[in-house]
Amino acid sequence: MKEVTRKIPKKDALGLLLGKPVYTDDIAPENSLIVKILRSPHAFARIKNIDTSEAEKIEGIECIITHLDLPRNPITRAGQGYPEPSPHDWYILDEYVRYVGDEVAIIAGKNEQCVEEALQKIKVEYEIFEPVLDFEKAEDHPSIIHPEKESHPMFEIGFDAEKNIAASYEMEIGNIEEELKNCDVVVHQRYYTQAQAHVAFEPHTAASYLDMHGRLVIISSTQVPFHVRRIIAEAFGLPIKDIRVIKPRIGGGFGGKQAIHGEPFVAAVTLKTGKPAKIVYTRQEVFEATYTRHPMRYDITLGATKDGKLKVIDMQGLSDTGAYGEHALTTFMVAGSKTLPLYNKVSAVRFTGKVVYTNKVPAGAFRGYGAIQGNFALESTIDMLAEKLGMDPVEFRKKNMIAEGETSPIFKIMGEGREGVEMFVRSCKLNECVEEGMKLINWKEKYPRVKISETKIRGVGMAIAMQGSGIANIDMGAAILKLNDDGSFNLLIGATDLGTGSDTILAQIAAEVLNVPTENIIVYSSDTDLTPFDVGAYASSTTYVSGNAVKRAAEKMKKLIIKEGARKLGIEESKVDFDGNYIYEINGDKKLPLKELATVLYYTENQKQLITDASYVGEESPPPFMAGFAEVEVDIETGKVKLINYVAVVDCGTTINPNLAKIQVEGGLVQGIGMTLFEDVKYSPNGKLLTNNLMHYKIPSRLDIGNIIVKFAESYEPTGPFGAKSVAEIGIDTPPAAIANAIYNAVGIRITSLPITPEKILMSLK
Amino acid sequence: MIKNYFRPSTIDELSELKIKTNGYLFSGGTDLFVKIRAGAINTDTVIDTKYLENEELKIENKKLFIPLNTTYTELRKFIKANQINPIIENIVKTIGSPMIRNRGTPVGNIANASPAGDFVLASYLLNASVILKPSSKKIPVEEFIKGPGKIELEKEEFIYGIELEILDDYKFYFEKVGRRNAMIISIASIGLLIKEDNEKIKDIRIAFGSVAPTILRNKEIEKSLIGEKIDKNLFKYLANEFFNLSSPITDVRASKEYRKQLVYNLTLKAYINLYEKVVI
Repeated sequence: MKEVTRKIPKKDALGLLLGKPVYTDDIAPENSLIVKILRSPHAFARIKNIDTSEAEKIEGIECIITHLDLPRNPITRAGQGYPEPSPHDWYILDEYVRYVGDEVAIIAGKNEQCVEEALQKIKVEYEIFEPVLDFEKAEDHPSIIHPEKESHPMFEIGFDAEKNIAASYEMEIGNIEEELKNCDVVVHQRYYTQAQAHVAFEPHTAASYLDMHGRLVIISSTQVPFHVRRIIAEAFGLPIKDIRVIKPRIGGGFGGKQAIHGEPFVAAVTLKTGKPAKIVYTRQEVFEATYTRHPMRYDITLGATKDGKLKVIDMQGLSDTGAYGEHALTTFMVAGSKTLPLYNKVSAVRFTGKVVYTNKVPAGAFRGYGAIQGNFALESTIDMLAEKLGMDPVEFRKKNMIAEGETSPIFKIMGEGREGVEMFVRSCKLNECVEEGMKLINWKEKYPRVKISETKIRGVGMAIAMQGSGIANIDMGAAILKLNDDGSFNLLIGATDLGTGSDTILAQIAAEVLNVPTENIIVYSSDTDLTPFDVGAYASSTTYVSGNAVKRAAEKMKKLIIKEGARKLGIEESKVDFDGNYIYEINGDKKLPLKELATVLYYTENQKQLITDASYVGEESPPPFMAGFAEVEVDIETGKVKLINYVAVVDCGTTINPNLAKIQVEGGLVQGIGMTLFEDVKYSPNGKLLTNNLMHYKIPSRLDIGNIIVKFAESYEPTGPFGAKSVAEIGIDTPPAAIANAIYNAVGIRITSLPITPEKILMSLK
Repeated sequence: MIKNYFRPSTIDELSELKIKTNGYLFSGGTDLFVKIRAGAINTDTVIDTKYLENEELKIENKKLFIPLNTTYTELRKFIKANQINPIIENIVKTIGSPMIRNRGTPVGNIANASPAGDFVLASYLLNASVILKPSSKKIPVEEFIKGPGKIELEKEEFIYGIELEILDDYKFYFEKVGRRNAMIISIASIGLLIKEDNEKIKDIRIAFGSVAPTILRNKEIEKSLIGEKIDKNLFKYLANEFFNLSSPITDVRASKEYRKQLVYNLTLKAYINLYEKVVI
């Protein structure tokens, strides 16, 4: 392979480094009205009255919009498939406010100052209710967070608003209770994970204007431009054809932008005033009023026989979706569907639980969603079980984990929000990942602990993980290729590059098929008027789903070039091939440069535009796998944990661009390490988020993450483009369990709630 | 929003502006502007002290004089060049980030009077005096700082500089525990200076940050230890005393229970690192 596996820089790297104005805020119309949101100071209240008269008098204020001025169509902000698996329980503005930060009014004016002033001058009377702040007490709480009749699910998801339940799920294979009786060793443990924040560098930003035809154009820092178009149409009751959504470069998403956030507010202003408008969230708004990871609780029961065979897995969960049910069911189910198949030889497996509403910042999509929460709980308990069996935890996993060619009934039973698909794992180098990781961390020398001094002890721990590659039979991506008169190609894709480099790797895939340099592929992506459909960047789908679409479009293009080249050469199509530069006679001397063919097709002979397209929906969702190994040093005097080494060995199939694959894994690991050790979330007793800035919410700095060692196992996925699977999320899954296991191996303390702070360790050591 | 910005060049001008405008003084602005932006300070007037004609960093009569506007970075360079008070280097290098240290000033840290202020801890350990102008008052730092954010300053006064002792032949230990390894505010910190004489204490100074309304230091305990033999039991006694003396709060960074435990453990840790450390 020439273009695939090339370690080229991202296509947009230089422009971004040079600071070109390419983000939403840079390209929003210069005369945009500044839009800001008046937000609720109460966790749960009803708006009795809003008086905007004083605020409207302020010089420069163009409009103030309240819930009385807008259509009240129940929607979900979550951008994921259609009909969505998330309940429709959100309104552009509502008379109820359901968390501190919920939207009360939209203010637009000529500049920041007048809008800020107007924010202060709006008088709101609230009827305040008792908020639901503890997710373990949400079900059957006297306060009902969604009392309105309009909110509804799109299909059966176990939604029961009267009980504050957004979704619920249960499945059981075999008989848990019976099988547990046959086990020699049984362990049970409860775990908690926190509401991690995404902290994308670019805050949520959106701009809108009307084009000359009166169509609404939205520029947005979004992961899901096509979903934004559909959701905005539904929210405002507009035809989809009257909306265009453009995603320019964006500064990270991590799932936080897999939804609409600022788009409806700028749209409301533009639709009302006819003027361009833009909103740039403050960092505090991003923390308080966008999305978090779903906090979850899991009770894990594992049973094994004394020969080290895992027989039973029981996962009972509770998930906190906050004030709105975005991704409520899917996130929860993924905690099972992306962990349980790892141990596919069990006799009984059960996964049950509920997703509840609370009056807190809504939870939504976040890299590794569900999987990281489930992985922390399951992979921590696997270590407990191995210890009870007197086995090395690595040996226990090797004995019980999934291997190439095998399947799991979970694949069929659990999809995302609905049934999944039956699937045999065609590529799985988990065993190689584990072996290589053991070598790189030096497991045999270091397990379980090495004493550095009387007060400093090092330990190693590990965990294994899997993800998916898009959602089978749901996620669709499409691509268009167009030949230019100089022999270069335009690649038009709906796929959404979040800074991941997907524009680059998709061009590499097209270039590989056509045997041309990637530099000859000009990429334009994520514009609902100009590019074909793609679900967007989520569920680790782009390389696999969009990549397969690009590959197919390129294969069609190659055929078309051969066909038109043969015609020009006057030879039968079957006797001609294309090598990237020339269309040539296979057993002869005739040849024609691509550039010449392209020029004549445009201007002189047999004139036509060569253009091909293809769509792809995965029939399977081949999982990438990985083994993560942590080496920590625990200071038993302060409880501080120093992460010395983190080794990740990943099977993501072929790495289309090894450098970009590596930084995807590294980035995932760092975010996972942050969730494990640093990123604490605290609320005040009345429901205000206290960790709402980067002073209090600590993401890891470079000095906190030690050595990160990423290796890729040799692997080839037969259904993937050139053997590739996904790589975006897999990196985040293992740090919580691997680090918790390493800390346990070092000092004998098992921390079961994230983040693992020095305080929790020291107070347990006491 | 800031509407008025002043740039006085003399002491009297600065003092007059302070009375007249009630504005906030700043040099680096690394705290002030963060607080204004967060809404913790509401002012429309700031007074920039950087254009004041003031003295330089200097050593005089075995004292180190740090005037206002001296940045942490400048102080580090000076200390390195003159080879004095190495504990200051250990403390200052943990403050903020390189960018903060290039702007932020020790005098600003004193003015903020936070019990978590790392330079405040250094000033307590080195028996600092705060020099005010135009009054030319010289006040010991522990009298100048009255509580979290509270300082002894008349309306017309401002901090002109601080004077620290220069200590020779002291062993020292400093550690601050935070939620990560860079750009942190301490959950608890310890600073220890010991001068020995035949394995006995000739002088000892021990101070803790973030575990009381101000820096925690107790001169009576210190005095009572002079002449005592340095061993683990002595530090266990100290750890106990300060565990009891500390009165931390629970905040977004940590609980009071954890902070108290750290006071105890850090005292012993200081001993172990100074006297028992096994190097591997």
